[in-house]
Formats: sequence, C-alpha cells, structure tokens
Amino acid sequence: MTDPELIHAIQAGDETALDALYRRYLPSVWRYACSQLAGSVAAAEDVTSETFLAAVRQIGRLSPDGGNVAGWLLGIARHKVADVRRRRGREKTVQAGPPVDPPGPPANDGPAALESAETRASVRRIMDTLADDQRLALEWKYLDGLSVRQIARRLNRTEKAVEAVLYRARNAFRAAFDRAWPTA
Amino acid sequence: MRAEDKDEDLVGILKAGYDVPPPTGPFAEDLLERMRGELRAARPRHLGPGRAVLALWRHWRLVAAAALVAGLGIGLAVVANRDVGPDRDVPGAVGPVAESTPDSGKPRMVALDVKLPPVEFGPTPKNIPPSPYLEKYSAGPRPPLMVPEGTTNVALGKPVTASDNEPVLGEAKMVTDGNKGTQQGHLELGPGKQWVQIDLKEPYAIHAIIVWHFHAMPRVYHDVVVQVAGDPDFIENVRTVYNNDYDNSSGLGIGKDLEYIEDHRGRLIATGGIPARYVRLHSNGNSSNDLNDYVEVDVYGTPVEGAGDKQVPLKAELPRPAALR
Repeated sequence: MTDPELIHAIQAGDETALDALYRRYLPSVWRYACSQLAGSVAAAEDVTSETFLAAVRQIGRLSPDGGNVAGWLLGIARHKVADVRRRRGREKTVQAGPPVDPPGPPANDGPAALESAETRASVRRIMDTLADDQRLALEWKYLDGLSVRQIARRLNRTEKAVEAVLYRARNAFRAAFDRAWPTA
Repeated sequence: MRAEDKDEDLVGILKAGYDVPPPTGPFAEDLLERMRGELRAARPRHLGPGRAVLALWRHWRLVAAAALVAGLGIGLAVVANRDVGPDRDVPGAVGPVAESTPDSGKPRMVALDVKLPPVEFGPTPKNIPPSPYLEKYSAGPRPPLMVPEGTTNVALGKPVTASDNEPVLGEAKMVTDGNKGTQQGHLELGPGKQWVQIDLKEPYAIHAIIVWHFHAMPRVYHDVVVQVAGDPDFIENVRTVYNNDYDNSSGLGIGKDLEYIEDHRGRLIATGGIPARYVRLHSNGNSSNDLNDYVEVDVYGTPVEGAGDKQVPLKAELPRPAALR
C-alpha cells in the first residue's frame, strides 16, 4: 500500500494499516532520535514512543495526498527531541552549516576507525546539516536499499526529483565528510 | 573511481556512522499496542441525534430562553448594523471606521481592525452534526466591533503558560506569536480539560478577545470558557466573558454561549473594556479528537490609567460581554 492509502485506511480505523505505517517508518524515526540523543537509548525510546503516539492522535487532520509522511513524522520527532532536552535541562545546539571539526583524525584507516565514537558523532552531525528529504533519501537508498522509485513514492516526488535530491545529498555529505576527516 | 565505487564508500560510512538497528522485542510491540489503543480512542466526540433530542427535552427552558435572546439579538444586530453602516467588502476583515464623537469627553470609537489568516477550508462545513447547542454557521463577514481609538493587540509576544507542561505539539509561546494560520505550527495540549493563560504584564481595559483554535478543517471545540482576572491564580476578581459549557462538564458553571465551528476568523468575544491583567482560555477536546489546539489568541485593550501591578477592581457594572462571529 502507498502512504496515502495507508493514511486513508488508518483514518478509517484500520489497525493493520497502522502496523504497516509503523514498521515502515520506525527505522527512520529511530535513527533520527538516536542521532539527536546520542548515547541515551532510553531517551531515544521516549522520543520514538511520543512521536508515534502523537502521530496517531493527529492523523485525522493529515491530508493523505499532501506532503510526505516521513517528513511529517520527523517534524513531530523534532519537537519531542526538544522536549527531552528541555526536561534534561541541558542544551544541545544543532546548527546548520559545516560540521564541527573533531579533535583529531581516526587512529586507523578503514571500517574499524569509522566505528569510533568520534566518527559516529561526526557522521551524525553531518546528517543533521542535511535537509529532511536529503537525510531520508540517503538513508533509504544506502542503508535500507530502496530504489529511486520507492523513495519517490515515500517523498511524494517524481523519480527525477529524487535523483536530484540524492545527487545534492551525496555531494553535501561527501564535502562535509572530507572537511571533517581529510585523511579518511 | 566509478560512481558505484563511490556509492559503496558512502554505504560503508553511513553503515558505520549512522545506522542503528531499530528496536525490536517488548519495546516495539508495546509501542504498537499503545498506538492501536490511541487509534481506538480517537473516535469523534459529538452529539448523536438521540442524545441531542434528549438534551433538548431536558433543557427546554434553556432552549426557549436562547431562542428569545437570539430573536432579541437579531433585532439589536439589525439596529446596530444600520447605525454603523454596511459590512466591509473583504470577508471577515474589518477596517477602521471612524464614528462621530459629539461628546469630546469620550474616546473616539473606531472599528476594530483584525488581521485575519487565510481561509483554510471550504465555505460549507459538512462534517459537524447539528446540535441545539451549536451556533448556525455563517461564512459572511462579521459586523464591526467599535472600540476606543488606540486599541491594540496587547497579548502579542506576551508570556503564555498552559495546564499541560508537555504539549503534544508546539510551545506555549506560539499562542501569542502573531501567526494565526495553522501552517506555521501551533500549540496542541493533551486530551481532556486544558487551558492556556496569558499574562499581559500589566492591567489593560480589554475590549475584545479573539481565539483561533485549529481551523484547517471544520471543527467544534468543547467547553470553551474564557476568563479574565487580576491575579495569576484566578482566585479573586475572576470574570467569565465567554462560556459554552452547556452541561458544566468543565466544572466552571453552565454557560449560555453556543458552541461554534472554527474557521479563519476565530471567535471574537466583545468584553466591553473589562479591566484585567490575566486571560485564561479553557477547552475540553473537540469534535475530531480529545486534544486542545491553540493557534493564536489576540487580546485587544487600552492601558488602564493609574493602574499599578495589583489587580484592578471593577468600578462599575459592565455590559454583559457578547460574542460576534
């Protein structure tokens, strides 16, 4: 089922459609929550729960044919992350623009180095600088293995438009990553 | 390097640096079960036909009185419209219209100038069932409200607090940020009885209050009660300027005002210059769900001369506030 079909069905009370929507977008919301609240699985679980529960409460007002569901969910998640930060009483500033330089390059080249906490933090910061559609297109294409056609359906765009989004997202990501890790 | 190779490089970086397996097991299943519960609970709350007839029968005196008052109100409105001239040609917009002031001791009266957001739904709401407590919907421009010259929106940018510390959406400050459309984000409070409160920072003579709940679709908010007071706890000198809680389900008393369908014009409540510093707006869910949305609240007032930080006592009997569409 497409997203608009799922939304129509959920608005009519179809719990199967709700399950499908949840399983489709849980990975994206979860990655977003984890990237924003690095190091706290409990906080990421809170954000994920509150995001999906708020989404169900609001789904009656969602226009099934307008916008994209993932962007809408990330918008809710953004509010929930802000709430968690306020509750924690600490500020984490998420800034647009190039990522902050890490204290030093990875100790070793290769995958092992990439798994270091510093590099993970750097990748998260780079992803934070991307627009929502770029972030989602990248993760769907390169982590979830979706085709351009599938991504186009999810983003409610044409395939040509998605190719352009992916092109810009790749370039932006690589440029930022090269600035952060010139030797990687 | 071929494009595929470069993409493999990107896959490696993203997998190592960004991929996190989604939660499974009890957390994921428990969340899904809670979502199913929310979906089941999200049934529209409205008066069914049987309940409407029963309510009509039980409150026939109130209905008769309302009909009498409505008839009187229509008569007065006709007279008032004849006095101030025809409606403005822009739907909902009310421009400044000067009124002659033969008595120089009284302030010059002008029509309240309200900047409205764009229309967000069609002219005829069809999803709201009729009810004896629901005002008949009219899409035409509302009659102008005359207020003293110099009246401004004194709520703009003023601090807002809410009964729900963890809103479903938005922040309390959005209620007075000047954005009246629903596209720019708004405050959504949790289910059931909730309120928002505006601190005007000093007492004002309040001539009108306009509240915009969510208006992207036809919707009726229940138990809308608007109060003003001189203290933040609403203990002393509390005055209710609007109340459409017909069965006292909010516990603030039975109101005589009617429920209404939200649209881009908001609900204008004429308050006759009532002096107060704090404004509190209650609601109790709506015809689509149990949540409480506040897009914007305008409070139109003028400074109260000689007023200090303390509450302003009522000096005289004020005319009963009225609501204008």
